Amino acid sequence: MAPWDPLIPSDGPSHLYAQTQIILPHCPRPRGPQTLAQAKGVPGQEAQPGTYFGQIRHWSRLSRVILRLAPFCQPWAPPSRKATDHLPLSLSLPQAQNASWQLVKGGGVESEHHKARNTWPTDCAPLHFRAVSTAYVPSALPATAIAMPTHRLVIVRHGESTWNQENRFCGWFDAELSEKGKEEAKRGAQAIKEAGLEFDICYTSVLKRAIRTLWFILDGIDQMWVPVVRTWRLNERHYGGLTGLNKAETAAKHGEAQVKIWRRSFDIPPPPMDETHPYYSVISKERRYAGLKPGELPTCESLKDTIARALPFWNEQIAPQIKSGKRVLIAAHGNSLRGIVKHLEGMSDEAIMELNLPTGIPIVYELDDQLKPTKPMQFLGDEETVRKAMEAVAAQGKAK
Amino acid sequence: MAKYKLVLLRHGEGAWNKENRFCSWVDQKLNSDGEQEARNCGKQLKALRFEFDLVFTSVLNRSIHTAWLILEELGQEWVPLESSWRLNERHYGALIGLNREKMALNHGEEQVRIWRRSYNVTPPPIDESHPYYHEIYNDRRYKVCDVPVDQLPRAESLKEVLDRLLPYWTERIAPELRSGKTILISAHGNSSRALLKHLEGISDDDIINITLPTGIPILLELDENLHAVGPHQFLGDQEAIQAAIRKVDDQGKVKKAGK
Repeated sequence: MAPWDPLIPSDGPSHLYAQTQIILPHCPRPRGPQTLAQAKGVPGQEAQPGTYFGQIRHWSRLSRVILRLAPFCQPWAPPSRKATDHLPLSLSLPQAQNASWQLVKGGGVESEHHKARNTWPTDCAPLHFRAVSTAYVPSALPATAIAMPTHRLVIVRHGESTWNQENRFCGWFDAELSEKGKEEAKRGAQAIKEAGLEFDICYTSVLKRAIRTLWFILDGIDQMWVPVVRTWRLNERHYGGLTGLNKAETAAKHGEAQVKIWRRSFDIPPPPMDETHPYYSVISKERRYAGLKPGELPTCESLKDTIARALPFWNEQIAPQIKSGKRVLIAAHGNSLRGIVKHLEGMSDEAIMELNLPTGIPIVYELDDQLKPTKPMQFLGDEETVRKAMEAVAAQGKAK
Repeated sequence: MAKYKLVLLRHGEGAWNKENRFCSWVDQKLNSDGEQEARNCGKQLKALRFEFDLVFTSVLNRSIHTAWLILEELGQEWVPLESSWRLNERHYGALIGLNREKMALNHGEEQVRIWRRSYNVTPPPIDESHPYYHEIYNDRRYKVCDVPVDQLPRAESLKEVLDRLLPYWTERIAPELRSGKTILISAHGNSSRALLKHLEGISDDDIINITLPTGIPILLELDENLHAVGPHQFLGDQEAIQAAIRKVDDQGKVKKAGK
């Protein structure tokens, strides 16, 4: 393929946001422009030392537009030290110098690089860099073809709970944050503080691990006075009869495959929680759920069920606030946030199952006025923290 | 006949409480003693098995942080919480940041006591030359209030505190109480006093003698007209409560030589 060929395979999926991949900085990333604003040299948008914007890439028409404009960006030049030493093989090649580089899926020199060294990131599709020559001059697209972001949304998944630590299915059990979880929340707060973000309204679940994560953030950014709305609809997925069971023991008992199905399938629910379950009274009979209508209180949920009860809240409460110009922060759980992400990005059922949102790391979306993301989600935090968190979540569920 | 229950409290210590300075609308954080007071308050309420349905705070973070710590102790973080400037501490105007002891030396203990405890004596207003003026009025939280920032108070007597608190009580808090909810109000010394004056019908003259200790939950039982059925009760160990009351009173006094 010539450098100017479209980076998106022409037989790619036709709907707007087809696939998501997580990018792990297995090799040190060049500190080139990582967002359109940085590339344009917008003041204040330069990547700060120590700040890493991990990106989820989408194969979308919009991404193609942005990628085509990339050559107009300042070309990335390696630092004057012998910088190519640390670069992946593809970027140390001469033609990669003074070229803008794009991340593409599959194949490529770096795949071989990783294969040879057995340094594949776990649970993620192959990735590599490919240099695109700056000699390429695309037919210019008018600026109005690009939807300018008009709203910003920040979501954050709570940090480690005491039951995460014990590798137990937590679900609706109201576990405390572990010490590590509190540290994760404080780091998340620091990342948001450094990004200088302000909020007008916050949403969270009725489970303390999410609420306290939000409190750490609001305290850290000195915005404790911002209104907070708590709702059971942003709760973690209800793991039914599996609640309280140790994941490793369950994997040993039922097999890793069955556990993986229960945790990772889209529409297969775990066994329900009934009155004989040891945690029935502290969950199903809990005062905080007293206002639920008959039939609303779940006894178990698949991811599909979780999303089905989270999305009405998004549509009726959160989306109108964002559209009215309010800057929203949502502190919630892995699966309720997956529901929001799946909806925002139009992801398939299969694609959402592969998505592991990192814990304690604020995720920023820029949305157009139809609340469609205008660029890949951005993680706030340092590179090391982001990478480690992704690996930790992927390792759960395996029998010890 | 007590129909409704209300718990209100004055947040714990901040750095300026210890330094004996009028803190008022300056957004001081709780110090570690203040955090401990809040936790003890929460433990006390937990031992008495309080189950709250709604929490109200001011927009000052010491009031919100106190509420958070209490809810943590109770395991009731999920309870809805609402913040309003109308529950803020009394605005001490130009006296903000000034040390109470020095004021007592300069103006006499009696004048300080009047400023602190009288009903309708307004302190001199804060103006732009005051070191804390911009810190307060440039803050975003005061740009989203139900009145424009230039109409927010520049100094308040206790009467003026009640004047801005009462609409919030009537329109937001009272209906929630009437619907049967158990309410916690995490407020400040003077906003709590103003509310108690209204609910208990304390006279203008008597209010000057009322002192509220920090970090002690105050129970008020109300009838169906939302009037108090009896005097407010401090919940907890009585000796600790009296010591806490004396501590607050002593803040206005000049230290004796040799102490």
